[in-house]
Amino acid sequence: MRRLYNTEEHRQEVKEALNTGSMWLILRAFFFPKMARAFLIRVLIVILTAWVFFKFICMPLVIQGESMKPTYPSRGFMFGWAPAYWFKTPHRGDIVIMKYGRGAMLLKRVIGLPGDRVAFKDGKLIRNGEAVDEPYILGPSDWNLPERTVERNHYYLVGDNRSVPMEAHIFGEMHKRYLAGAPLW
Amino acid sequence: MVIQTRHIVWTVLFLIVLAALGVSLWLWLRPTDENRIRARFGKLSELVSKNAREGAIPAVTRAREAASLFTEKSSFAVDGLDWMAGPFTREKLSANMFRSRSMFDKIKLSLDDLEPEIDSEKGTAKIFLSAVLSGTLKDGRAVREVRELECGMLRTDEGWLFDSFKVRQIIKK
Repeated sequence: MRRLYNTEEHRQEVKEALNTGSMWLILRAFFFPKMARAFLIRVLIVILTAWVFFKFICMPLVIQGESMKPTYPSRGFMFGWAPAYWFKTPHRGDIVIMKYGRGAMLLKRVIGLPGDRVAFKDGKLIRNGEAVDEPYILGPSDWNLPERTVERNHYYLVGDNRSVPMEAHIFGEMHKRYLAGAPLW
Repeated sequence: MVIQTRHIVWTVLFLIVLAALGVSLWLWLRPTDENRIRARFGKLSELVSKNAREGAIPAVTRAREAASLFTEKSSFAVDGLDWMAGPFTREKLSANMFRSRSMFDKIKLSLDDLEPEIDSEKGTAKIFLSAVLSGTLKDGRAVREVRELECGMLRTDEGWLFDSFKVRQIIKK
């Protein structure tokens, strides 16, 4: 029980506040104790841990744009899980988060791995010469893109919303160095 | 005051944390080629950026200082913009930089994701990075352009200097 308090003085402060019965004093004594060393160390550790966790491991992200509809809404909140690809590489069909300059990320689906040949014909994805069934996309789509081979160390990324004009949609191949993780959900 | 075991434990822990911080700081700041190169990019970003209107003389000084980070004849290749390609002398670079910066009220160049490949023996380096140029034009329009850069650098008597820049789309259809 003693560990709940920073110091003997803090314990005394809470005890006195409890005796007075004033809810304000109780809350103040509990949440805003006098700045004892132990309390400051605890606050510092919490801040540092939270910063590392939310900066490098589980990044809070706001979704803006309709390129991943219907899988993800045009506005929303999600967490990017950085360790998702620390020990493995993305597979075809995976949804990944890519760094897109400072302060922005791209949320896209991997449709081609290095060496794959990808093309769009009348909105249909053609990979390595074969039409690919994509039940997750939003259509109708009239995209036409000549075949290209995905370069070494690159992934071919496209959003699920293919109903927008091809010119207005940010998609294409991107180097693996920009891979930042995968959405947590 | 009586020294108790917990005092010794706390002191030892404090010293360990202090030593770890010291080592990290040293690793982070020690003058390696990579750190010098990173510092050059930091300097370039600082010199190109501007937060408010500036006078002609400070603008010329900044452009000259930025150009001094480049070799006497550096080359540029920009995907889709052939007129921006070719070799540039420091004077030409300085003039171009002055002209380009004067088109903006505010401008910020962020250089991130640096991936240097350094050949210490030859004194050359190839660096891949992402660049974001954001700002507000004189007519009030906001600009945000993201590009991938492949930069060549040379080690000279003046330190590491930018020798070539290849600018391309970070994601290409």
